Amino acid sequence: MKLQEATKRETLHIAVGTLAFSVIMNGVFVLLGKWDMTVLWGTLLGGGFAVANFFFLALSVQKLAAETEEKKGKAWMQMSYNMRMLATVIVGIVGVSVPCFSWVAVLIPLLFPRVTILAMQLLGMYKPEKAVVNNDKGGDESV
Amino acid sequence: MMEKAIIMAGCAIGAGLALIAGIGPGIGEGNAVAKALEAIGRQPECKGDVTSTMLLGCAIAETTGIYGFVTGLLLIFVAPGIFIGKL
Repeated sequence: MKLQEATKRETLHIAVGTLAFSVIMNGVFVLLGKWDMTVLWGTLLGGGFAVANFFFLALSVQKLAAETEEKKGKAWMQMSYNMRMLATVIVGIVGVSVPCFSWVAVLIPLLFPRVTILAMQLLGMYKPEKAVVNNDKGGDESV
Repeated sequence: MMEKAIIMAGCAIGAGLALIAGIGPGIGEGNAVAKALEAIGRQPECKGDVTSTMLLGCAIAETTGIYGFVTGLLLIFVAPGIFIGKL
């Protein structure tokens, strides 16, 4: 499957944002004097999984964009969500129960994609495009 | 002994309730995709914009489920130790 431009671009944005917030989180651990290797491994597991989860979501959405049947698309998306949530549960349980991972450092990066999207919106990276009005061709004015 | 059992039961019930939050995003994402496909079918030239917006919308919706899951994990693995330690 060839990756669409939107998939690559958004995954890159999320990956960069997750990396930045992971560095900040590790910095906070260092400032609190609680940093050790378990925090680093936990960040790698949680942050890596968060980006991978977004990438698989993007692949699902890309595949669905070529779909024409709404019911089929809906069912596929719900199955995709279930599979990704199951993977999240496995990663979460491994992160909390295996001692070589810091559970805080595993669980917090799972929420970084949301924070990244919020940061991108605050930075004005997702402003809606201005509606194009074309009265000559009799087109409807976009709302 | 009884207090420990009550704490464990409370945490387990709380975790179960928190995990209910995982149901909503699945339904919501499915509906969002169905409507996006309808929109693409109506205006195929908007496919790129709709895909990009749908992707971010689905990511935001999915985080709600992850919030519930993280809360559930904390209630199962972390909270009992904290509360039992205070007894």
